[in-house]
This record gives sequence, C-alpha cells and structure tokens, in this order.
Amino acid sequence: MRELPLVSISSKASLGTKVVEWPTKDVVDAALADPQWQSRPFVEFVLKVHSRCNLSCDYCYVYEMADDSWKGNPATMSKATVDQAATRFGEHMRAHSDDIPVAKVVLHGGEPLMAGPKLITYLTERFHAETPPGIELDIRMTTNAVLLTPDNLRLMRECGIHAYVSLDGGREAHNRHRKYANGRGSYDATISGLNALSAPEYRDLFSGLLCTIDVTNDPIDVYDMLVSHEPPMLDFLLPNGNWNEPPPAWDGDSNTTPYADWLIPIFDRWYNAPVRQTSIRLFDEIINLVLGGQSRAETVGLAPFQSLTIDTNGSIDFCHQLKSAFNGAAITGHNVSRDSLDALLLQPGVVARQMGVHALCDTCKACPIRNICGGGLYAHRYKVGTGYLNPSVYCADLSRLIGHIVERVAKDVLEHDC
Amino acid sequence: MPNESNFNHLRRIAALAAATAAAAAALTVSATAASADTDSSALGAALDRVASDDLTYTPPRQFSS
Repeated sequence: MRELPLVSISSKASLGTKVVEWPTKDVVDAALADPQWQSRPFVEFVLKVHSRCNLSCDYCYVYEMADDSWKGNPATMSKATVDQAATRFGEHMRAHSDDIPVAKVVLHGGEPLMAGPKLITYLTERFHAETPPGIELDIRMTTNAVLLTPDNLRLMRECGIHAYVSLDGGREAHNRHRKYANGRGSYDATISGLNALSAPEYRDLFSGLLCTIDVTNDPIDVYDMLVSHEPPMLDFLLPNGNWNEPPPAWDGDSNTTPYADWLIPIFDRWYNAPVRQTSIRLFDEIINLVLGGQSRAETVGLAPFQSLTIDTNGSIDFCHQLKSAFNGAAITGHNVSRDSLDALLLQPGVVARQMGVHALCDTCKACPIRNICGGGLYAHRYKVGTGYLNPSVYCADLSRLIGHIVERVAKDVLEHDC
Repeated sequence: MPNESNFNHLRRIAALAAATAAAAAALTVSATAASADTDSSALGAALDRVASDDLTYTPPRQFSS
C-alpha cells in the first residue's frame, strides 16, 4: 500500500476556510489500489434511540464536549426512522450474509430507556424481522440504570435486550461526575437499578459494567466495588480526550503515565487472583494480542472496526465518540431515509478504520508494540491539522500498561513452557 | 510520544511478546490435545480463548462504550 499523505488541504486555513484533515479520499484510493485490502461490512449498529439524558455527567462526549449537534436533533427516534434504519440494516445483512455470523444492535443515547417501551418494542421487532436466517441478532443497551424499573426489566426480557451499566465506583467516585442536572449524584438510583438487574430472574440480561476512569479515586477501591456486583464483564474507559483537548490527568510529559499507574494495580489484583473474578475487557484484549490472538475491542489492536451509529434523525454517523474531537466529527452526510449502508463502505472515515497498520501515523508504524496498541482508540488520536493521523494522546500510558502486562504474562507463559 | 529510550524498552517488550505468543501457541496445542486445561485464572482463561480462536477469521473490533 502506498504512503498516505499526512493532510490534504482543500483551501488555506488562514483564509478562514475549511482544512480537510486526515483521513481524506486518498485513503480510499490507496486501499483500492492494494490487492490485499478488502472492505468489510458493518456488523455493529449503535442506535441513538433517544438523544436526551436524565443525567448530566460532566465528561459526556454527547453533551459536554466539542460537538453540539444533538441540539438540532429530535429527542426520540421516530417510528418512521426506525423503519428506515431497519430496512437499511436488512438490505446490508442480506447483501453480506455470507460474511456476518452475528449482527449487534446497541441501543444508546442519551439514555435509551427514555425512548419508552412502545418504541423499543417496535424497534426490536423490526430489526428481528429484517435479520436473515443464518445471522444471529444480538441486542444490547448501554444504560445509566436509573430507569431499570420492574416494567423496564420485563421489557428487556420480552425484547431480549442485554444491558451494560455505567458505574464509576463507590458513592463518592460515581457522584463526582455522574449527576442529575440539579447537581445531585445518581449513585443511589444506579445501584438500585443495578441490583434489580442483578436479581436472579434478570441476571442473564446483565452484560457488564462500564467505568470511566478518574485517577483521583483509589483504583483498588473502585475495582473491589465494581467486582462486588459480580459483573460478567468490566471495562475501564479512558476519559475522552485528544491532543487539543487533553484528558483530565494529562500533563504533556511523556514520562508521566497517570492512567497506566492507576490501571496497573487493578491488573495485578485481577491477574493474580487464583480464580478469575470477571472479564476485564481492556486487559483481556491486550493479553489475547500478546498471546497471538486478535482484539475484539476498538480500544486496542488493528483488526477492522465495522461499526456505525444511527442518530435520532436518521443520520448515519461514524462512532459518536468522535464527537469529543470537534463539532461535526461524526457526521458522514448520509441518512437512512435516502442512503444505503453499503454506500458508506468507501467513505474515508470507514476505510481508515479497516486498513490495519496502513492507517497508523509514521510514529506508530515504527513502534515495536503497534500491533498490540493499534494506535489506541481512534478518537484519542485527534489533533487539529493532522486529524486522526497521530499517536494516541494516551500513548505513554498505553505503552506502560502494555509493557507491564507483557512482562507479567511472559513470565508465566515462558516458565510454564520450560 | 515515545522517545529513543522508550523505544528501546518497547523493542524489548515486543520481543518478549513475540516469544510469549510462540510459547502460548505450543501451550494451547498441548492443552487442547490433552483436554486437561482446568486453570481458572485470568491467564488460564486467556489461553483457553486463544486455543479456541479461529485463526482464519479476523473478528471485528467492537464499540467500547
């Protein structure tokens, strides 16, 4: 594959006109010229069924960062938009059925449960109806758990929806960021909902916990608190940030690694346990890469990313985490009302995430651990001028964390092998 | 971004990872053959996962929040 230009400038920024940042159309040309490259269909569909939230978390990439496009969108996805989204999904599934064993639909928001039972039921029925035989439909939801009432749990059972719950640790840790608009913390309501989801009759619908890292919390306290809920999976999310809007604990010194320093004690506690207490997605994926496997999470590794997002207005978007980069970063210009999903497969922003090592910047290409790190989460690479063609703003943290995990795993595997 | 000193450290880490992957491949083959892998630690689960992975299939990476 030929070298990719760093940045294509359509007109001069000094004149106040738009600078086209990487990835540009050159990415698509380079991919099409490469006989090894193959476009991959979308297999994961994040549906913004409700664009407002009953919480006002201060780190939310939808409402609190660079993008404010939510203001102009309908609060709830209409039935007509659900129909169009399901129809486009069905077309795409049928066109690529040989390559798709499982299709995943993730109900997202805002808070998806605010969309109400009628719309959620209708949506799941429409997507099931559009799923061809031979493809398994996996429906998930990311929720703050505040609305996990008995009625909504029955709804989830009837619709076959499994839920990830956002929980940042104990009361103080959680309430620091995850608040109602009036400033009151949401911990009690979240725990109440989580306990209801964890009850025996619904436990199989519990997918796991998502914890956004705040390094001012004690990592072991947070881990112990999260594990006490016996989640089948835990994930620790690095706060969204980039080279222009750095993460909260980032000081620009490549020798300081506050996020790795926070994660490593958790890794050691988890890894040293004689019986694994739960899956920790970030650690599991790194270990799998170290052992010669491939990652299934977008945070690490170089395997293709085959996900798109459909907003309440039918807009077909890139992953909404990109909203943390700049206003409009997730927009493709496509909409389910007029465009097929196949029409997006050759968008530069899609191709760039299916090119593996070819889509990394020169620094990452030269890095010895690039196949493990994969350049980190795409949104974390953004820098004005060079777009996403940069190392992650978490480069130092990822390097240190991966180095620690490799040393621990290597010691055990190589000793075992001797 | 990594400086030269960091890069040297990362080269050592990458070499260690490559050796680990090679050793893991041998381990998982023998564990599969013996069907006797009862290690329920994090590493045991990871070795089981690698052993059961279809290496001819590249799974997609998925949305993580």
